[in-house]
Amino acid sequence: MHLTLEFAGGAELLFGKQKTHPIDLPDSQTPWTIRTLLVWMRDNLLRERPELFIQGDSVRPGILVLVNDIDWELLDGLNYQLKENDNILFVSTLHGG
Amino acid sequence: MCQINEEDDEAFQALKAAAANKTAISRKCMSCDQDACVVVRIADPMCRKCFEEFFIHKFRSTLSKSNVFGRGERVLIAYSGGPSSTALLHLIADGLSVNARRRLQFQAHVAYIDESSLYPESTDIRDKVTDLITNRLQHPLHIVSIDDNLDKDHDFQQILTERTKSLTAREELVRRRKLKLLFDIAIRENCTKLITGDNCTKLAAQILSDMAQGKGAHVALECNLTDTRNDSVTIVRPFREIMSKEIAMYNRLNSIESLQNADISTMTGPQSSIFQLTETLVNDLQRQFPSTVSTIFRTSDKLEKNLQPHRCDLCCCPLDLSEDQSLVSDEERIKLIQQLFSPTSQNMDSVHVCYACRRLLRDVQPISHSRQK
Repeated sequence: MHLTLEFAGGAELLFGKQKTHPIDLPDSQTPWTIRTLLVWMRDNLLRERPELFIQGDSVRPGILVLVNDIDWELLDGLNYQLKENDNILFVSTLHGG
Repeated sequence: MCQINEEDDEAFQALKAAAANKTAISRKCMSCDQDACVVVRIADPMCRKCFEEFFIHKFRSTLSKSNVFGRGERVLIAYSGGPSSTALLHLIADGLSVNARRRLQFQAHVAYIDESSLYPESTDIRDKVTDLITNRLQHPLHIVSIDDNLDKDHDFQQILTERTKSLTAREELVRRRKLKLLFDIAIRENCTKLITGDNCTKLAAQILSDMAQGKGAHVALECNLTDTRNDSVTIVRPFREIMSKEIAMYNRLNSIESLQNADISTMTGPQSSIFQLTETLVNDLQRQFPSTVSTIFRTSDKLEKNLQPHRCDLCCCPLDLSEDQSLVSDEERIKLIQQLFSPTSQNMDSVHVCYACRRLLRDVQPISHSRQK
């Protein structure tokens, strides 16, 4: 499944300073959710310091997640099932501007 | 001692259960029934249009409610390159534009403190800032380096890395130094107000961090809309009721990019300094208990202390110690303070610091000590 991941607000520093990451998730029996995406990201994308991005099975509080520019709290959060070509943005709001 | 054993405390468990069981948020905007795109405050879904109106309205009404600005007043906007101050510039540009409803009437100048000497990888940030502010927004821009006007014994980068042992102390020194430089620019440019982009999430973390460092006497000042610690320049915080999440959302919807997202604490981890700890705490709590930030604010607003009329020479806040207790007698420290913090116009006869700044100074080692190593 093809997705676009975007990072902002400093989160990109954890992913090779790259703000946009087009990715292809391998086919899976169970549908991909944000929860499983995070696991995949930790294993395949996170260059360093996973504890600065992931806490437990979710993102660290202070990191806002938008799916196609919609707040993930409106979309079942971690259980949201990813669709082809979804755009997922992770914005860090930590140490404010 | 105050202690909660989380498993045993019934009240805490009940609160947690209530937070977990809250009914799924409706996906329709609370005001207009369109599809919602963001959840604000406790559990209010809003569509894009209503959210932007809500956001802009909060900003404008915070300013106009209190009649803060005089017509034609010269105002300095503190720009850090981060998301909050970039959003601030955007909103002010809108508010100053000819078509704006209840147009803002002040004259805007912008100040940027160049900290690139403190980071190993400094990019062409000055050019980007100049491009944004001078070329696109067309405000007068004043850039000052954080090492401005320091003699060779007081290289700021060296003071931070070699003589200051904790990240907490470094953050606090940088914070005070930046404020002092901003005041200097404002006075030099005859600006009577200094606008900062501090949002309430950050301010709440700052309040807790200040309390942990003995600055509890000043928290009411630090979270106030107008801060009159300096007689010539009043600090104004129009984002004090706006959360960092709301700013991030607004920036995304309007494709507003921040120019700089790193500071000396970046990538150091949630336990590297007191502010990192309190910021983590506030964000962690806010997730489960969405009234955390507003509770911290409401409480701090009420904390008043009898303060001296004289000001601390480091942070400019009113002294919370007596004349004798606040006097600095160590020659080297006096020189340090004079170099880093004295207003460019004055010489100082005697140097006084508040309780928190005195504790901060203890974390900066004297020159002779570090040379021995």
